[in-house]
Amino acid sequence: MDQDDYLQAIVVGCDFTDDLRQITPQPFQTKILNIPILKYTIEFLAFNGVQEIIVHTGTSSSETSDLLQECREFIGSKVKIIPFEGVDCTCTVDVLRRAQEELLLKKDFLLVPGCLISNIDIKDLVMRFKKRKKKDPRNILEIIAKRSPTTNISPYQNSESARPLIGVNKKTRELVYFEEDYLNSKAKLGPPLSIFKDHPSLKIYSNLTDVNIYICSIDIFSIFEIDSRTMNDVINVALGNAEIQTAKITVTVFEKGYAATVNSFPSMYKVSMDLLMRWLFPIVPEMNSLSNTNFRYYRSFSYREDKVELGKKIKIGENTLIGQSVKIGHNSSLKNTIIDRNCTIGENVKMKNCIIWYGVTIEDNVVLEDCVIGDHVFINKNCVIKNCVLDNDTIIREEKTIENYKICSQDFSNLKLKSTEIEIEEGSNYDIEDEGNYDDDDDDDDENENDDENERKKKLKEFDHKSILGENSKGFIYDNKGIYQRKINEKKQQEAKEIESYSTSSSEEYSDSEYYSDRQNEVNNSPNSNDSLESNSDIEKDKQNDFMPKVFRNFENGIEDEYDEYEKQIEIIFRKCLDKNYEIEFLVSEIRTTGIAYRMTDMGSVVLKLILKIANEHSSQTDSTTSNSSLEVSKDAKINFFKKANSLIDQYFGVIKEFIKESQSLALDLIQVIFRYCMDNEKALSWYVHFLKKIYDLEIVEEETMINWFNSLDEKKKNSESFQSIQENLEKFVTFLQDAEEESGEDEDEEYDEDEEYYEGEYDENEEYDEEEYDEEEEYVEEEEN
Amino acid sequence: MQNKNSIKNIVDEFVRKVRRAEITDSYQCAVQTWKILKLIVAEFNEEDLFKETKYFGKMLINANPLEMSIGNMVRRLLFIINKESGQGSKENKNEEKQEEKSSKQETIQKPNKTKISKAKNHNFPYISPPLRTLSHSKSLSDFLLLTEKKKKPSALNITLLTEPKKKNIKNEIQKSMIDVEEELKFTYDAISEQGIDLIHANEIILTFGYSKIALELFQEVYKTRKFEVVVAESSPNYSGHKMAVALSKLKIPTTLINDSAIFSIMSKVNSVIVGTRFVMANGGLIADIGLHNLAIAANVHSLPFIVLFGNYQLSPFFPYDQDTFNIMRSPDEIFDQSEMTNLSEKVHIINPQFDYVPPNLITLFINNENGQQPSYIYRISQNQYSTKDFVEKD
Repeated sequence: MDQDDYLQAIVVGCDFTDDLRQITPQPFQTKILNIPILKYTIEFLAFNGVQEIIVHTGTSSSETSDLLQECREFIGSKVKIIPFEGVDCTCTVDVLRRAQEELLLKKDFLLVPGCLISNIDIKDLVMRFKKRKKKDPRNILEIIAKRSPTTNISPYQNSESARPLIGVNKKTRELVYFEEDYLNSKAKLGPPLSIFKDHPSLKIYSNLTDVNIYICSIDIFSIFEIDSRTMNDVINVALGNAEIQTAKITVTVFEKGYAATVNSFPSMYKVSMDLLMRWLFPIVPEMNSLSNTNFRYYRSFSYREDKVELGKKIKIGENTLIGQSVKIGHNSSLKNTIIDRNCTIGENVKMKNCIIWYGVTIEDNVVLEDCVIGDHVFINKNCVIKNCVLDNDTIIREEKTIENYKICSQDFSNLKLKSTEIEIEEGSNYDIEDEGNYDDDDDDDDENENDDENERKKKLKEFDHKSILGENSKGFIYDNKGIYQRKINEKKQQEAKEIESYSTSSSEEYSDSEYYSDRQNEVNNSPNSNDSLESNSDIEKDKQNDFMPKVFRNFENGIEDEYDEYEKQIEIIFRKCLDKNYEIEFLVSEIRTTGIAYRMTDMGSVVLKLILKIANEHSSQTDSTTSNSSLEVSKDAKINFFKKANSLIDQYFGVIKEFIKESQSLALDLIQVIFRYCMDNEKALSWYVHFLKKIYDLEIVEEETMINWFNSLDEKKKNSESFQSIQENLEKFVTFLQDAEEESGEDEDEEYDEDEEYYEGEYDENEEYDEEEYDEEEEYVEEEEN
Repeated sequence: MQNKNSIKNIVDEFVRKVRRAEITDSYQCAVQTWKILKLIVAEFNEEDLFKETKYFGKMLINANPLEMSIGNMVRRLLFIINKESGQGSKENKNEEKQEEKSSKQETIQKPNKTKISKAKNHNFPYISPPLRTLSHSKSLSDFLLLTEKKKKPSALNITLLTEPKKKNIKNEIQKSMIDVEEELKFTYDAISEQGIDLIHANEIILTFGYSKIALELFQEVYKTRKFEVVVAESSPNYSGHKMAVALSKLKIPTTLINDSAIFSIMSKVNSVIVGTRFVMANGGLIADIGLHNLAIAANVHSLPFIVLFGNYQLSPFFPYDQDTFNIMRSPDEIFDQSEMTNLSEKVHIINPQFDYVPPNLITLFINNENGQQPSYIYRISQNQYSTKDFVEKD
């Protein structure tokens, strides 16, 4: 074989953000039109003349190797498929490095995700890339992008490749500017004007989808840096070194053809529908090319295999696909629905926008809307299930209405669970006490969290076992978002405006606000579950949405699971630095790397939160040595806490500042983090204003932001017990700020000193009591040491 | 067995190519299928041959059931195997040969002389005897004979037949296959030679999309006569553009119109000559989308609507509506994805590839041998395929 034509491809199977893993813990098990996605990817690669496909599996399970064997059979002997475990790899670049170390990559190769569905023809492109590389070995990477639909919320896109802003030199097709996700970025700067000068024939694309297909030269490893994790990092690094011209990156934009990645439930549904509507032609169901099927095409994009038993008066609407040996009872109706083989569906069942996998049983009179239902699920008659994901082997034995849930059934040991598990059924076997204990566990200190997790798992296993033995349903709520989080939010918010009594969530449904408050409790580890606070928090719930920090707002976008993980990572790094007294620069770069990996932007507030947390721990350690009564927080502990926090902030404000930079929206998050923390923590409460002052002094936050925030506080919030205690000081502080702002507006230079003077006066007034304590405390510490 | 595996690999490779739409030309499909079938015939002995051909034939056809040229070639081979192995004794075969010869002579006298000379030059085989020379009853009995005899050989004949005879049967099959191959090879020549009868000087001819047969025919005729061609672009694949360029390279005066202008330009046209995808057994066409419009327009203006086809395009099925032999292509071809908004997602975008043109709209067919009436296509199909051989029936 001619060495020039030899082409490899590496499939990065574990998409590191894949929320589909919740129901398919093994990689590649997600099915589109009843066929594993990997088959589409491999077909795409084989179609484009790839001779060797390296599949990064992450694990070595038998399911995966079976699937790969299946792929080998259908793709023929000309294409080699090589599994590559790469167990510890946590990002795309890791996988590439590992593959390079194991000498799997020989020459140029294609890099694609394992969830790619495409029919783009890139054969010519690869040839041209190789030619260009011969002329100039600096050509090391070609990005393939796709013109995307003009919809605002595109289902094709994952969070990683959401709408990049790309500047391309029209003549050479060279990439000159790259900004990932310009729609969501805080700083709307856009490309610098100089690039227009440097490149007279420049084309800026804003409507592209980065479909994660890359043609790479083997030399690409030269531009990998230590903290590169995703391909976007690599591109940024390469562009950053543009003056040195070590690497050239070219871009090709496809107008025609289909390309999409499947890594969330909405995109899974959307891509399935696109495939039914034949966007992936010539790979269409009735070609039966990917699997051993025998579909036939009927009008209005309806497909059926043989041995399908349909009852009388069945309405089969548009965009439906029914697998072999499916039985559907009389008077049922289905629309935009995919049913895998061997399903049994009763009479009068209504299904709309559903994806139903293998061997599912659905009894009479069930209504299903916007659902993804895993293998071998059983649904009892008269159930109404809307906007839900049911994991494989879930069993629902009673007549229930279930909305907006993701439901897992098993394999908890493989999943990292963060949310509370709630049994679906009221009539289930295990008693409520268990759950109560379990909630209490949740409120314990952080140090016990790992133990907690294990305990949780143990308990879950017990529940699971019990429910298998019992006659009742089997399944646990994974979270209460369902599939289409955003849509429902909007709807509910509208409803909330219309109906005032919305906030009293007496209905069975879990309202959004309730959900958020629960979340917050968890994240803050606050003892909010007290009955006395319950009423307050209930009222607050509604409003908390309004000034929720970015940290919490992120949950809407379905990345809260990562968030915890990410916070832990940073905590580990931070503590390490604390122990070994690393340089601040090092800490910043470490945290940034982690942040990039998890695609979080609010690293500043996380650091601040950590500081508070560490200070708290510090104070409680000393606390435990002095007094046994942990219920009453001693003054010593309070002061200890403040001192520690103060010194830590002094030490690390550079880090926070680095991440906040100029962005005041991030600074707002900081204020809110402090507020939330202080409100929930008795120790911190009285120090609240001091913290505010601190971050103001360090010029992290501007006056205006603080004032705006204060004004946005509403009455209910203000009425809360804990708030009133600090209200006075806070108001003083705010008036001071307002004055400061006005004055600085008039004449900045002159008034600056006055500001400080004025402020110092204020500070002293407030501090009087505290500073006395301070001194006492210091003495006390000295005694201890002696 | 090893060889069987290698054949299987070859078949798989071909199937994959067809499925990925790497081969879309039905002539190429037919040629490549025939190559594979030749390998199969060379590989297996005659007892297994029918079974194995069916087995691999099924695989080939399933590559794309609507690329009917593949199925046509498979069925043609099955017909030949049936015929040859069915005629157990040599005498029968000799008779058959004599018949063929006589029929050949008859047909040769019919067409004009230039054609004969050319055909001889090309060594052009007339293997399938035009049925009008055979009586209806004769051909029927022929078929009956075939079907009866097909069942016998395994039990009786094999024990009685001697070795050389077996070889002979295989040889006969291979001989017939060579004939078919030749026919396939000279399809374009055979058809374009007949063009001189269809086009008169200074006429304006309307054609539709790209068709290699039509192009060769125009080229051949333009050597002796001057005429003009109007090409309809055939959206959404716009193969008409390619046709217009190809014609202009041959220096034939060419006009390109869009499909919507077909009716209005029809009054200026003298006749319509088009190629097709497939010809069905009832004399209807499965052709690129839009040809139905053209056929009706020609019918309204009482213009001759002439269809050119090679025998490999003749399919033994009977269509009755637009859906049965059709495939929906990607909406990408007719709708710009980047224009997609939330609203337009509710729009159904339907992009059928084929049009079924019913036989009553067609004036004349031209195939490898001669001009044919639409109602006569059925007989040609009977002469190429036996309904018994349909792979789909298993």
